[in-house]
This record gives sequence, structure tokens and C-alpha cells, in this order.
Amino acid sequence: MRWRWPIIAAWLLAASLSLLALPQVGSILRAGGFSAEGIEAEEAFERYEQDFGAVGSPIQIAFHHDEWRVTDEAFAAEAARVLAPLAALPDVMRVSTYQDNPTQIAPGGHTAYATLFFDLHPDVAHRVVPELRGRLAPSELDVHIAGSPVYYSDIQTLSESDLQRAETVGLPFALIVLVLVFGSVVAAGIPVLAGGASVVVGLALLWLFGQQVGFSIFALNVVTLVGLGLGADYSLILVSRFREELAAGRTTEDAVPRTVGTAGKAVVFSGAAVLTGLASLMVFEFMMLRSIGAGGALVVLIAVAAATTFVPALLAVLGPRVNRWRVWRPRVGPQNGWARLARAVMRRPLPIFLSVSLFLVVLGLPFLHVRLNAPDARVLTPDSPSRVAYEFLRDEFGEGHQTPLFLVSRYPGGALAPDAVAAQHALTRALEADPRVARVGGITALDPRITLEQYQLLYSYAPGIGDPWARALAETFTRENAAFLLVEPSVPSTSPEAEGLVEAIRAYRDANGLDLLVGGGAAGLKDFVDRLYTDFPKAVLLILVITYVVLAVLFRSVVLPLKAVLLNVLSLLASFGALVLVFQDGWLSNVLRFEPLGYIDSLLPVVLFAMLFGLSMDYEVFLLSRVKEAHDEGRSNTESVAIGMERSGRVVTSAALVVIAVCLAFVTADIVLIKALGLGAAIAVFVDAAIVRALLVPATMHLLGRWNWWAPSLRWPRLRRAT
Amino acid sequence: MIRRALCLALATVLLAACGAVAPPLLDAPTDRFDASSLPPIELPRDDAPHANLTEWWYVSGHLQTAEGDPFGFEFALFQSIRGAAPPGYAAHFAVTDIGRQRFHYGERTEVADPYAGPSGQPAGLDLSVEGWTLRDVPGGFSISAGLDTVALQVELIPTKPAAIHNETGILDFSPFGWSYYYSYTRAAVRGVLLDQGLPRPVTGTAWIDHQWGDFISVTSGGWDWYSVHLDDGRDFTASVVRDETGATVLRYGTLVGPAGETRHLRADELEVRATGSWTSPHTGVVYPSGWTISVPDEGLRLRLEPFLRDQELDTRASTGVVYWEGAVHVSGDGGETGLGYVELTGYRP
Repeated sequence: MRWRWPIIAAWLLAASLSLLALPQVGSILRAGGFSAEGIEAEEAFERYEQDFGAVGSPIQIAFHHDEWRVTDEAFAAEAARVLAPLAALPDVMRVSTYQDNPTQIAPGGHTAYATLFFDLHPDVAHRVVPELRGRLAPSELDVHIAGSPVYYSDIQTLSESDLQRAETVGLPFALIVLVLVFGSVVAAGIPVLAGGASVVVGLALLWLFGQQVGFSIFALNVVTLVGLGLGADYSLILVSRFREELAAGRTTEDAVPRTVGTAGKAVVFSGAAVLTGLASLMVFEFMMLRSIGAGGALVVLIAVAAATTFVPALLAVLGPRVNRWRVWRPRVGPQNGWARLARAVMRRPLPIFLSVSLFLVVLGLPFLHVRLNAPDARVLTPDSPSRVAYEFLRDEFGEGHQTPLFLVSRYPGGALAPDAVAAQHALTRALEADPRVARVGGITALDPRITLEQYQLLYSYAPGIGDPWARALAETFTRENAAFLLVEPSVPSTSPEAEGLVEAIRAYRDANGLDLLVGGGAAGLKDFVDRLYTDFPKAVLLILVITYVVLAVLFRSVVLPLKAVLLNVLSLLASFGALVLVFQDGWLSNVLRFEPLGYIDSLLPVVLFAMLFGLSMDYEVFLLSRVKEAHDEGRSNTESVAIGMERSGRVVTSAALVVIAVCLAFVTADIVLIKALGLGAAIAVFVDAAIVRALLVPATMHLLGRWNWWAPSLRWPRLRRAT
Repeated sequence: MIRRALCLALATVLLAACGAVAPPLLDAPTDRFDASSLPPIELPRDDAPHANLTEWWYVSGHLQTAEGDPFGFEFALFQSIRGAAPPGYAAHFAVTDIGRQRFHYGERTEVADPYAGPSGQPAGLDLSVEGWTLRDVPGGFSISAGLDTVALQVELIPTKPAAIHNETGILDFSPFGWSYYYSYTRAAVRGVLLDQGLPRPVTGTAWIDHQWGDFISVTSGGWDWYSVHLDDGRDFTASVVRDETGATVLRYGTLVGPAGETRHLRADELEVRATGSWTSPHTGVVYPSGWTISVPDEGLRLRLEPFLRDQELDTRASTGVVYWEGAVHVSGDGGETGLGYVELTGYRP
């Protein structure tokens, strides 16, 4: 109360300064972030760079003309004219034209591409794309720009526009919900103000820390979604409680400390649960997940800080004026409807528990046929330039041309020694015979009519390989003791067949004792997903244990936190099942405007679990806090549940509505991952608030009876009584 | 009941696991060359290019101007086809100015335009490498090639039927591969030699070799090739193929009578001996120089001497090799006289 003005001033100052940093946030964000130590595909890439030199970040400039052939002088001259200013960019370290490398000419003869190799780390290479596009001269040729940096540049552009759209839709929608809940524009404005401040300060801190550590471009959306949702949510709880206290006849001076002591405490514990979930992403080695975890945890801290300092300070200043600018007059305080519902549930607890649990399990069943893989260009909108370019090159050159596997091997006796040639020949022939392979590049992939002995003869006098084709292959695919094969799959890199091909090559390697690493394309995706789901159980365990401990301390109970954690898992399972139906199987894809991938982005369950476990736990925390308050007042278990439901019913529903509103705003996103995060969060919060809170919690509380409050006689941390 | 359900569940899991195993990579079968599977040579159809790994047309001969000035010439055109890549061509052209004791040579390369024609292969023989051409004309062939100081445009009209080497026309020189091989051993030459800017009508006699198949030309081994036009109307050729150690892996020859009748010469019917050597001042490569070739059954013992020692071609830019190919004069123990050409590949400093 005493520090209310300095606190408000500090927050407004922080938010104002943060606004200055906002336009710069995009500049520190990094693409990629999917690499980690010990991943074979990563080691293959590193070995390639050791043996063959730095690759850089390649960008393809594709040229097409319906009439002209690539061998026509007009085509070549026009392509050279377009390419010249692009090749003159400062970070270009090498250019490979289609004249240098005929594999860059499409079979039809009307399309070819040049590759610009940028001396930039793949995580930051996307920053060159705007200038590249700016230098693109109008041409008689159709020109497309493709490659990972272009893909990530489009992701960043869409990500930022998604964010703007989500804010434009989400904030007013949340405000409308809040006005309906509170009936007062002033009361409704406080959560919006706190949510907005949380996001703005959170993004500014992201920019500040981003000077030192890498933050993924996806962190932007997660920070905004979590900041806006939680900031508004927590403030709503506090404003609601404050109004309840005022309605009970308390003065502002009394109501503010009571609000902070009760609702504020619940917010702190709820924040701890959300923070635990997001911080668990730090278990992963991938920068992408670590940065989402760090960014998310940061914004949770800010949201909790805003709810426990900024909001009480505002309430202290406003006092009863919090109800000004009334639009309508809702009932403030307990509502008997929720108590009646709780009592009705508790009259038939077992059938309700079993049927609702079964219902949630059935909702989650689709998750059993989940297929996980990494995203490809289809996560972008069909008109995104990089997706158009990717699909154009795929149609012209074949499925695996842009995402080949590379097999890097070492031969102590020399890569062109007869035994090394024999090993490469056997592997090449086996690959060429495999229906999952479209084309193999390597020293023994010159022509299927050339026998092993002929290859061995061709390469037996390395300083003077007579055959110019063989000489070119040896120069491209070998160094002293190193060789590599380039394998273009005939199947999409994200398909199970491509994954099977990677496994088959590695099995062949092991069976034949080759010193060979498989990287690129499907290998990179497979290794990423495998590592992700090796680490995921550790993250899940961490979340479950810490959440359990936090709730055990809050409720001073052994059984209650266990029940809360299990019920939360059920609601998440239902959300995951829905995601499989929508994003894998394509239900509602027309309504939600996206192209189903046939699989779930492997990041989605991980990020959702980490983000939602705490978020959807909120409502149980708020409900059980009120139940415990009643129980601590000396009520029976059944009465405490009914009273808890009665006291928290309205505010929990309102808070859930606000979060659902914010989350649904993200469903308008163009990037499928963000769309899925928004929808998944909305579903989980809805299930938790509508089904778990209203039906499962009363049923289980009644079934467990006094066991709810059982705790061994330990020295529990002393917490101030909520009442 | 429970046990049965568990068994069923276990079986389902095992089946699902079996279905999830990716098909392994299988070792591809090894193909072995079988000469009997190849069709016989059919001319003139087979004068035209084929789609095999390697193919070449070699024309060499001796010319005389109206004033009686002697010249030797060589024109070779190579075609290589590797996988799906468009055919690659190289051509070598050399003129030995015997009177002035000068040797001129050059090389050119070209990759075919893969989209030039609907079929990809021209009908008949009509090849061009950056302007140097080899074409079929009624009754024979024509070549056209030029260097800075010398150019040649002539027609070649075979005066004997093609000699099919090794009886079947098929050579198995494993491990290098196999090839078809025939020669128009004697062709009348008529045309124009542009000598230092001066067009000079020329006539003469040429030897046309055509070889194609799935073989590779490697730098680790090599061969010596000899062709002789005897003044009595007989033609003779011999080839000695060496592996990377220098050991002879194949030796054969063909004797063609005045009317075109051929006799295949086996390795044991043929003796080839170098009588001297020459070290290239350009590359340091040491070549044999001067030879004695004997066919005892025929009572033939020929001596071959180069008109010019330095007839070395450094064609590393086009075909990756340095070789010697030059005009020789021929004399025999039985009073035979004639002209010839010798090619030596695979020699190193």
C-alpha cells in the first residue's frame, strides 16, 4: 500500500522503455536450433566440414522459362544478369552455377539453378534474405529463391505477422470477456494492462538476453502467448478477489493485503507450476527448445511479478473506483450454481469419475496412432515464397533433390584405394537398387555399366585420372582419406520410408564395418526426433515431480497433489488426441486453413506439455486453494469442496475464458506449429476448466475423503494462512 | 481368457514390430560380360555412334600434294557417355609435315546439347566437335579440321571392305571392358590441305578405325597400335595392350590381303620389338621409337621408323592423356615398302 505509486511508476517506466526495444527483437532471433552433440547427422556434417571444408549456408536461385532451354544463350545471359548482383553480396563465399554442375539442370531442360554459398552460420543466414530479395532484378525468367535460410526468413516474417494478428484479435477479445466478467471497463482494463506489460517487458528482456544467448524465432510467439494469457489470468484472479473483499465490506487498506495473501499466494504457486513446466525444456540440448523454455520461464516470472506488485498497486490506488465505468452489474461473490453442481457430482462420485475419466481417455486415444516428424515447407502458407520455391524445385528435380542424405566415410588407406573403391561401389549399387532411392552421387555412381574392376582401374592412378567424368567425381566426392556419397531419396524426407532408408544404411554400415556417418535430409530429421523423445521422458518426470512438490507444499497434502497431477495428465491427453485428429488426420483443416502434414510436428507435444502442464493446472490450483481455505476453516471435506467450487466458480470460468480467447487468437496464425500451440492450449484449458474442475475434481475429492488431507507429520514449510 | 487376451496382445505387438522394421539394403548382383550375348557388327549401320561408354573413330594416313610434298595426318573423335549425362566429345587433329619436319596438333572438346534433337542420337554419322567434323558421305566419309597454320578437308572412300578384327569384331580386354572393333584399312583420300594459308589439293591413303563398347580408357595401363599400308596392296595392323605393371595382357593383329581378305593373328603368331627409344623434351616421357614386327607364318618381317621423332600429343585438357601418334615409313626383309602410323599410350616419364 505504501509503495503503490513508486511501483506503478516503475512498471510504467519499464513498459515504456521496453516499447523502444520491441522493433529490435526480431534482429536477435535465430533460425534452426535443432542441433545437439552426439547426434549422428550432426557429426556427419562436422566430419564433412573437417574433410571437405566449410559448406556455409546455401541458397538456391532457380531460373525457369517455358520456351527457352537452359542451353540457349538468351537463358544463360538472363540468368547471369540476375545472378551477378546476388553473387556480389559481401558474405557470398562461393557460387555454383548450372554450367559448373549439370545436376543443377532439371530433366525437362527449361529449369536450372545456381547455388550461392554464404559464409554465415545457418542460424543467422536467414538475415541475408531481405537484401537478397531486394537485389533481385525483374527478369524474363521466372526466378525463385529457395533453401533453409529463405525458409527461416519466411518463418520469421510470418511469425511476426502472426503475432500482430494474434494481438489484434486476442487483446480486444480478452477485453470483451473481461468486461462481461467484471461489468466494469476499469476492472477489465487492469488484466489487459498487466498482460500487455508482461508481454512488452518480457520481449524487451528477450532482446536484452538475446545479445548474449541465442533465442529461437519461435520464442517470440510463445513469450507473447504465455505472457498475455498468464498476465491477464493472474490479474483477473486478483481483481476478482479484491472486488469480493470490497463487496464483503472491507476497506481498500484491508482488501489489498487480503487479496495478495490469498489470491496472490495461489498465483505464486500457479506461476511456480507453469515455470516448472517451461523450465523443463532446458533439459533438452536443442537451442530451439531451451530458448522457448528460458523465454517462457522469464515471462512467467514477469507475469507473476506484475500480478503481485503492479496489480495490487493499481488496486490500492483505485480502491472502490475499480468498479467505475460500469457496463452491466454482474453478481459479485459466491454463486450457488457451482455449489449445487459440486454436491450433485458428489452424490454419484464413482460413476461420474469413471465415465468422465473414460471420456477423456477416449478423447486421448487418437494419440496412440500419432506419427511424429520434423516440419517441412508445408508448415508455411501455400503462397509463402520459400514454399512456392521448394515445391517448384521438388516438381522439377524430384522429391529428394533438395534434401539429400550425405554419407561421409573415411578410409585409412585412401579414398581411391581399391578396397575403398570396392566398399563405395558395393554401397552405391545397393542404394541404386533400392526403390527408396532416386539417385546416388559418388565416385562409383558414374554409370551402372562400369564394373568394380573398371572403377578400381579408373581411380588406380589418382594423379592422372584419364576419364574427365571420373576425374570430376573424384575431385568432388573424395579427399585424401575421405569420401562421401550423396543420396537423393525418391520418397519425402518426412516419410516413414525415408526414415527406414536411413536405418537401412546405418544397418548396412554396421554389418560391413564401415567408418561412415549418415547425415542430411531424413537422417537429420530422424536423429532430431529420436533425441527429442529420448530427452522428453526426463523433462516429463522433472515436471511431474517438481509440480507435485510445489502442490504438496501449497496444500500440505500427499494425496491431493498426486490427484491433481494425474487429472492434469488426463486433460493433456485429451488435448493431444484432438491435435492428432486435427493436425495429423486433417479434421477441420478447411476451417482452420492449413494443409495436414500426415504427422504431428515432433516439437508440438513437447512444447505443449511443458507449456500446458502448468497452465492447465492453474484452475485446479485456484479451486483447491479455495477448498483448502474452507477446510482450514473447519468444514467437512464435502462442504469444503462445495464451498470451494462456489467461491472459485466464476473467477475460474472467467480466467479460463480469457486464456482460451488469447489462445484461440493464435489459431489464426499462418505457421502451423503456432496454430497448433494455440488450439492445443485452448482445448487443454477448456477440458481442465470445464470437465476436470467441474466434474472430476469434486468426484475424486469425495471419493478420497479424508485421504485428501493426509500428510505424514513432516516439518512442512510455513505458509501464511490464506484466510 | 486373460491369458489368451495377453497372447493375442503380444502377438499384435510383435506383428506391429515386424511391420515397422525397415527393409534392409540388399547387395546388388554382379553382372558378368558375356560376348555371346552381343549382336554381330552390321555396316554401314554401325558406322554411326552408339550409346556405349566409350566410342572412337580414328583416321590416320599419308597425303601428297600435287607438288609431291608428303604429309601425315591424324584425326580422332571420341565419344563418352556416362549415365544420364549428355554425351561428351573430344577430338584430336595432327598433321606431320614430313618435308619441313614439323608436327602440328590440337584438341577440342564439346558436351552435346542434351535437348538438341528429339532422339538424342543423329541418324548416320554426323559428328562435330567445336567445328571439327566427321560425317558420312556417299561411299565413304569426310573429315574437316583445322589449326592456326594447317587445316584439312578431305573425303575418305574405302577401297576395301571393313576388316572385322578378332574374327567376331568383339574384343574382351577384361578388366578394362569389351569393345567392337573394325577397320576400313585402306581408303582413298582426296581433298584440300590448307598449308600456311595456301590451299593445296592432296590425295593419299588413310586407315579408319572404329571402336566402341563398354570399356574405359585408363591411364594406369596403355597400348601400342601399329597400322601399315604395304605398297603390294596388303594392310597390316597389330595391337599390344599392357596393364598398369607394364605386362602385356593382350596381343593380336590382322592381316588384310589386296582384295580385302582378312587373317586374324593370335598373340603367338606375332612378334613386336622396339628398336630404339625417344625421350620427349616436352613431357619427359620415354617412348619406344622404331620397331620390328614379325609374322613368321607369313614370312613377314617389317621395320617401322618414324618420319619424325617428335610426334607427341599432350591432350590432357581433352582426354586426360599424353600419347605419341606418328607417321612411320615401313620396309621389310622381303623387299616390302610402305607407310604406316603408330600410336603409343600409357608411357610415363
